Amino acid sequence: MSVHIQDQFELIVVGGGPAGSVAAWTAAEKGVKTVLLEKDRDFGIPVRCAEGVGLAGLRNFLEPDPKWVDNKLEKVRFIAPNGTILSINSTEKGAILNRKIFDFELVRRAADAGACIRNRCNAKGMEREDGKLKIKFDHYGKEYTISAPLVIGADGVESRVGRWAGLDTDLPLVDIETCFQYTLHHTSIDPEFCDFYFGNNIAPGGYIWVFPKGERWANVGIGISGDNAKHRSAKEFLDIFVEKHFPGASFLSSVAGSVPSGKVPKNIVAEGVMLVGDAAHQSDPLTGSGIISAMWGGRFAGETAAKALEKGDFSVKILEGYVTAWNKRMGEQHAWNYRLKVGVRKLNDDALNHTAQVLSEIPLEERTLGKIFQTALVNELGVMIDIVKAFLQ
Amino acid sequence: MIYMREKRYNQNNNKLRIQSAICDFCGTCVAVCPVDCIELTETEIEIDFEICIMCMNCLKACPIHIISEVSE
Repeated sequence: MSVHIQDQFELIVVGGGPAGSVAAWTAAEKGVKTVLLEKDRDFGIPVRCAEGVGLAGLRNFLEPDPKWVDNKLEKVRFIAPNGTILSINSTEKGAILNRKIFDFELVRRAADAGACIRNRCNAKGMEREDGKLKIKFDHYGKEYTISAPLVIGADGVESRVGRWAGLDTDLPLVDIETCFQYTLHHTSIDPEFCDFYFGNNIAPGGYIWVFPKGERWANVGIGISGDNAKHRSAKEFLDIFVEKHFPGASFLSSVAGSVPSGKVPKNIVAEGVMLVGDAAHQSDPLTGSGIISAMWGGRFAGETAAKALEKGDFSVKILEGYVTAWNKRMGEQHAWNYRLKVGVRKLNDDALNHTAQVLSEIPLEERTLGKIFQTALVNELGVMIDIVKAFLQ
Repeated sequence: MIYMREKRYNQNNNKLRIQSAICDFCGTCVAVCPVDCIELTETEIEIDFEICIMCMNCLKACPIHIISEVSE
């Protein structure tokens, strides 16, 4: 290997998305000898993401940079199955990122902090030996092995580090959103609005998003729950939608993917091993957003790695500190939104139409969350309001 | 969930075929596989039929439905 990985590392991070990069960045900054293995040629490519993120959440990690922020917006529209539009001005500004540049920026910062970054290293297995974890990986057709006392599994929805560590991270079909997305160009796309389309015939157990990247172009994608995808794929549902709403569009990119939408598994740490981001099902079960949540996972896991090394203790007890920190920051919202997701799955199109109708009768300038909440109480709209709230976060 | 690593679930000896030429290598099938029998790299995908239990999770969850059951 022209790239020598002979050093004795203290931490191996598997996966170079936001969770892995922030984990490596944080740990390296604290003096941990860190190596990050990414299976793909490039970081951030392909972009398996709708790229929407809250700016306030992002600022906990880095200042938004026009280099990787394609669009900023604060208007959200919910479109009910019958076409009723509910517009809401969000109090918090959101951004549509350019993940190709954003992910690269994160991993570059990890390298700046002193982490050893390696692309095209596909992890194939993990074993325990003499109190250390050995990761076997493939690099341009050759097999290599490195070992360290600590491993952070940031290897995405398809995570295998967790399985190798004996953690139960199985995703049943009801707890995964299977997704497809086009980046498309169409004259009707308004750069000021993020749109969410709901309906059991449109996107069963999920929704369709239109996230404008700029004038006339947007990420238009769909997530449907795995157990609703038997007869028609996510792509087929999306194609029907696109044909109706964006006839004659130009297609600039397309990508398949999926998002965990279950609870965070009971155990996301094992001796010497921490799972972060999608690998730990930290994405929001209701909205599917996962960037900020994954970055918190990465930061807390990186900090915990440094603490564990300081103490020379890699037990579950020490590593649980990471889980506690993440739960304190994200746990309550995650658990609440999981309950909401379960509730939403029971709503039929009539209930969605009715809610959108009642709420859209509130004048736009008065359509604050407080007013919506009040209307909801009177009309017993319950769960829908929490959903609106969750999407505005 | 623990499954026996044997073929008793796959009595008719059918297999799954992935149209790898149009696969996006997104990992959704790997994510829903209860027995971890799918090997995925950036541009390759393979099912280990010694381990596969033909549960059809991957076939259903694939965002572009390119996995199908074929008889031997």
